[in-house]
Amino acid sequence: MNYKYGIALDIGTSGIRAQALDLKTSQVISTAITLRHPLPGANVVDHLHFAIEVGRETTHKLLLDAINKVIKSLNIDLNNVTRVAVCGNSIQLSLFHNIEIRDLAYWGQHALDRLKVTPPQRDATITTPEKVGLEVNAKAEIYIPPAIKHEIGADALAMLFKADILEKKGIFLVSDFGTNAEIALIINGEVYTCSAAAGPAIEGQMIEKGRLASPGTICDLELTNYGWKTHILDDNLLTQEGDEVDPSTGKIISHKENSAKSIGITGTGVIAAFSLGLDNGLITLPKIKSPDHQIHLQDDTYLTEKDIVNIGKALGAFRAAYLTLAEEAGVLLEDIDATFMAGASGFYVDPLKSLNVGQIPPSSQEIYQMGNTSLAMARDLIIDPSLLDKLQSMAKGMRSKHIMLATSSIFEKIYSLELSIYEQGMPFWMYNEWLNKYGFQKVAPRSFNPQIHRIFERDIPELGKEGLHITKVGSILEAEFEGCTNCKTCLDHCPENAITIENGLIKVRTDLCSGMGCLKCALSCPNKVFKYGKLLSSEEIKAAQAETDL
Amino acid sequence: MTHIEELESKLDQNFVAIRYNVEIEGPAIRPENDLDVRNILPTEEPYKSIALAVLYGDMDASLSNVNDGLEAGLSPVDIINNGLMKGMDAVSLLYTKGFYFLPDLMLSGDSMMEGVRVCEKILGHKSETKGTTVSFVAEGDPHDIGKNLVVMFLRANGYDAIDLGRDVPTTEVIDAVEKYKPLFMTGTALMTTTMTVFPKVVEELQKKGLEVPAFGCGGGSVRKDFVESFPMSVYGVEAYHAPKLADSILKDKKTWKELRKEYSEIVGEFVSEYA
Amino acid sequence: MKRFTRMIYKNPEELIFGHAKFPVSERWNIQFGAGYVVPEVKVAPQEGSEASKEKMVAECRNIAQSACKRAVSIGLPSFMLEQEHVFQQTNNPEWAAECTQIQAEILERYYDEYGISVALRQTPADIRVEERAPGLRGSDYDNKIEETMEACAANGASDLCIETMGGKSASDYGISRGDIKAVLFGIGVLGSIDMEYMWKRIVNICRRYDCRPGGDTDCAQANTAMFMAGGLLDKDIAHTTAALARAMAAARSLVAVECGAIGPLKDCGYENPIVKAISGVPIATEGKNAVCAHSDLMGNLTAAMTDVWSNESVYHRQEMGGTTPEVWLQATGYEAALMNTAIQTGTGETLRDIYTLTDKYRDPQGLILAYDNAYRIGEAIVNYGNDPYLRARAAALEAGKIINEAVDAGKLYLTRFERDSLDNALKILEELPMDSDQFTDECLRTYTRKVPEFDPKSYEL
Ligand code: B12
Ligand code: SF4
Ligand code: SF4
Repeated sequence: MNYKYGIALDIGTSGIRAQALDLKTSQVISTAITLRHPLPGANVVDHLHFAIEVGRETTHKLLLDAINKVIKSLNIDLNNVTRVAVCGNSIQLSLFHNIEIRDLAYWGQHALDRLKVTPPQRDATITTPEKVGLEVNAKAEIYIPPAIKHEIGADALAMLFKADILEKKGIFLVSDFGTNAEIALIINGEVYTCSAAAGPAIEGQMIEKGRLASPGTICDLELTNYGWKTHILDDNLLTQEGDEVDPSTGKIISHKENSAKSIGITGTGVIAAFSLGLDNGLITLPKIKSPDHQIHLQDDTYLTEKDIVNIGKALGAFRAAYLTLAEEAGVLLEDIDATFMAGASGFYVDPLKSLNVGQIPPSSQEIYQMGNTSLAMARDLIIDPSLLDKLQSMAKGMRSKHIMLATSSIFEKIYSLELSIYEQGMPFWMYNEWLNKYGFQKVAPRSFNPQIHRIFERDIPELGKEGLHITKVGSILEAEFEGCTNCKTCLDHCPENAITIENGLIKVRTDLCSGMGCLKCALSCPNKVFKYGKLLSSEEIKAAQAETDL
Repeated sequence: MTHIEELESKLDQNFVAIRYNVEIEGPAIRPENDLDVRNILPTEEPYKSIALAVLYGDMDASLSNVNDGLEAGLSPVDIINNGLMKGMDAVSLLYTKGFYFLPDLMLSGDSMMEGVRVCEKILGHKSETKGTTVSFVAEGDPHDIGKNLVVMFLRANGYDAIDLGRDVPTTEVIDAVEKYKPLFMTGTALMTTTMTVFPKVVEELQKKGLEVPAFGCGGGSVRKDFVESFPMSVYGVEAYHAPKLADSILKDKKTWKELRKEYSEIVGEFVSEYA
Repeated sequence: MKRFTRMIYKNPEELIFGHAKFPVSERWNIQFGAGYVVPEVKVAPQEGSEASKEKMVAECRNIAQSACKRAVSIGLPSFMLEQEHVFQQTNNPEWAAECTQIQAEILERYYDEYGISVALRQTPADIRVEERAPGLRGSDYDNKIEETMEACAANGASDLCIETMGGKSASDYGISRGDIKAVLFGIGVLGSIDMEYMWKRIVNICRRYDCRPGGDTDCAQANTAMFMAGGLLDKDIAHTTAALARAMAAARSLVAVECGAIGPLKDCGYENPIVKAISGVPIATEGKNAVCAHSDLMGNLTAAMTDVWSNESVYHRQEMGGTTPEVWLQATGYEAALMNTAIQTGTGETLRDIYTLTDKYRDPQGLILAYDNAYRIGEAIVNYGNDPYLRARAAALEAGKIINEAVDAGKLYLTRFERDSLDNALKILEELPMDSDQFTDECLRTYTRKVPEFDPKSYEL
């Protein structure tokens, strides 16, 4: 019997997720994910910057190499794949589609004018494997859903679509718990969107011991009688209990036998520590009131005061953004009927803690944790390709009410209040008084008995009968720099050990390198010859060599 | 005296009850009653009211006080120096003490600037300042909160701070340097894609044979090693450091090289990035 | 209904524990405010006893029995037993009847045997639910309260009290958000309206029996503010805001007296000193001997004008010194003995002033209840006595003035939070309309939308 398959793909900033579906039964067969993005860097701007530096083609190729590797581990005959649907934010989808990205890398008109960039439409598209370089049956159709507007991408559309509130009466708040923090407020079907740009701290980056959610990371903390108990992700990304520690000293109160060793803490873990710390006074912003000004968790995982300020600034962006939306739309936060949390962090975070630290409005009464909605929407597209047109008209219809926070004086005022709280320790009552003074609503107090609806056990509900496969991705970039003295300064300065040097050939492993946010290699080169942008993937080098050989 | 009053006079309240909240936080006082603020604020009217309006961030009161003063025949320069600036000095002080916060600073800054503007209109020209500075946010970057703070602190400290805004093309920056010959220039970038503008600015300046004593570069994504990889620049950490850097250029003729070396001393505090 | 537009007391100096302008006598030879202080004990039935009527009756019997036994074994001349109902007691009038009856029997036995003066206060629970139709008025629950009141009166209660919760929906909203207008609306307007509705009925019932209409407390509102304000270091709501809510509560709790309640007013009404200064009725209060129930910042000060000194509430259980009815009656009993000794030895004023001074400047909430200040707030209330809204507003403004004077005199220090909250609240209160209809209209428009539980029909608005 000749099976027909579809592949649903989600390209996230922190990794790729793919699922194979049997088109006859619509059942998931297998799932493959990566625990990081194939491009160097921690956030979308890093990816963009990388693309600008090394060129869009190279970048597209690196991304597709990785995707091809991921779908190979789905364990299906790729020749029988007839449909592929891919979802993600505007940047990832543009890189996938290999279209203009520079309009996403700069804000305002000037840079774009100078570079003569015409922003593309990013409408719903059907393309072919050949055009994007996807190694599946050449006749397969590839569906790319539309962006809502510019950087408010198809991922945001997915969360709105899956929350299923666009046609309902009532007021709903839908928030993506990622770095870019797309937030939407829906009032009787009328949609207000914005991107709060919370920052990578939300996903555990820019935190000293922070890490993306992966096996061995602390993803939640629980208050016990004597201290805090850690919750750690195991190899299947399910949470397990870990040690109970005294957070101000790190002393183990009770050790959990066979618990996974902690290798770091995720953004949700940091939020948990922040919430518990604020409650018991261990954190008195912007300080940590422990002897060494750190919060200690098991296996030498700790948080510093700088980490606390960083997570605070990110959480502040959420609160400032939803307040701005509510003010722009003229509704009160306490009138919100239901709050939806999307994204992997939005799934693993304890909603009560989110509410406690203000990441969602404290007055939220009904809270839904949705999991990975991008992948879910990609699955829907596979099963019913006609959805693509519907999504296109949905996105079109929403375009007018996008709130540009960059030009919103409401946002700027409120975000300054957030900075006052997290950097200077302004008390919250004063924050509310300021809101009042500015003529904005106050943040309503905590809801009495919030109801949490968590539908699945994992952010990807169904892994399929073949189960989960974790694919390692990463390529090697190489270059020979003219004038290089082989002094190895760059190698010594690389914090991630991503560099090796063989006979003057410098190699960088993309899966280790932190990219454009780092560049310590180039900056440290005494001869100023290390040019990151000159690095090319090995195959391109071979191709280039082949050309010169001719 | 009633019976209870008589007893009360014998009693030391803290002997029976201590308001620990007040002990810890200190009693609420009006900002003008802070001892250090009292030393700054003028005592004679109308300067006192002018300064107080700035201290309270009250734009309307500030304007009407200034107008009253001008009508009474006071010199605009005196109003600026003895009234408006004194109020702002007090605000900066309360900010460093942790009594005032960012929004206080912004409101007061606006009130002061409005007053200055009225005075300058009468004066017919710009008022005497310590010097001119130029600030901008890199081309392609919308993040201007940090830059706004830098500008505010420079103005509060008596500089004529030219604000070029955000998403500023390099050519505009060069033109401004040519036009204003600033004592100090600041650039802010919060995206890795836009911070690359800084070395380009320096390159263009050098091409045109222009120079600034120092070019302070700061903003979320910017790091010290990056800034120090090109000349003329100094890495800026906190917005309130900006006037201190400018002062040291003005008074001690410090060069950008010296600013890099002596940053912590110049700003007068421990700065971990420079440790 | 006659409103108070003049002070019954002419001089704050006259305000002192054990004395009221209008003493109250109840059966079993007990008087309140007649020159001595009566200790009170109140014990809540153990969890589980609400499972059946039999269990509840047995529980009430045991409580009364223990209290009486301890009273005579330590030599108390008098005491009051109060039973505050759990839901089932009020919701089943026949339970209330039997419970009251058994307690009355026991008290009477001790009265007969030892000559000890006793009183039995029954306090049915306000089990009405505003957000459930038909709301506060005419619901089954509302009718049950009335039936239960009657059952208690008919079966031996010497007086009746209740803690009504009219206006709580609005005041809770205001308290948790620092919205002083909503607090004023909830306490001053809605609370007063609902009190009138409830108390006219209670007074009618009492007329038919040998049972006195006691009084009401603003537990549901002002005490919510006090508990949320918490200790000195808590910051959920400012203690200055809680003090303003307390002052408003006096204007509201006065309504019971205007409807015919004669006291002693109910113990947890911390606003009672103000009501006493205005109306001259005896009051029950609580403070340091109510630590079993909650923490306040005026443990001694509340004794200064008391006529019945209470422990508020404690679960029925065993302590090292005996069962809780025994232990806590002993605590309030000895404190009453101290006051009574002072009265007879002519040192009452001194003790009163000492009680007052220990807490007067501990917190703004205590400050405004010191008898001299309570009197001032009373004067502010009677000034606008005919208008429940205006008098509650005036009470709050006067309380603000009292706090500010103490601050200016360097006697009380506030934190910035307390200071700013007070300044903001006073500014808002000052700017409110002087016309109560206009105020009510404004509030109806705002709070029917903002507070879903609030139902104007419950107040016939
Ligand atoms: C607020 C914010 C915004 C606001 C900006 C509002 C405004 N008017 O400025 C809004 C929401 C508009 C915004 C938009 C975007 N943002 Co944004 N944003 C942030 C956020 C949350 C805080 C930045 C901030 O204001 N910090 C506070 C100020 C005071 O700091 P500062 O400017 O650095 O200044 C301090 C110092 O650096 C110093 N300083 C600065 N300059 C100088 C100069 C001198 C001389 C001296 C001495 C000192 C000094 O003074 C200040 C301290 O006193 C950060 C994330 C984070 N948690 O940091 C992301 C962040 C900066 N944004 C980011 C991005 C990518 C964007 C977008 C371009 C893309 C997107 N995701 O949509 C969009 C723009 C497009 C759009 N949607 O309009 C990224 C940048 C990533 C990177 N590695 O490059 C970040 C890190 C978040 C992320 N997604 O990862 N953002
Ligand atoms: S120093 Fe290492 S991690 Fe940093 S950019 Fe260079 S290669 Fe990447
Ligand atoms: S630091 Fe520069 S010169 Fe030295 S090995 Fe690296 S690239 Fe070559």
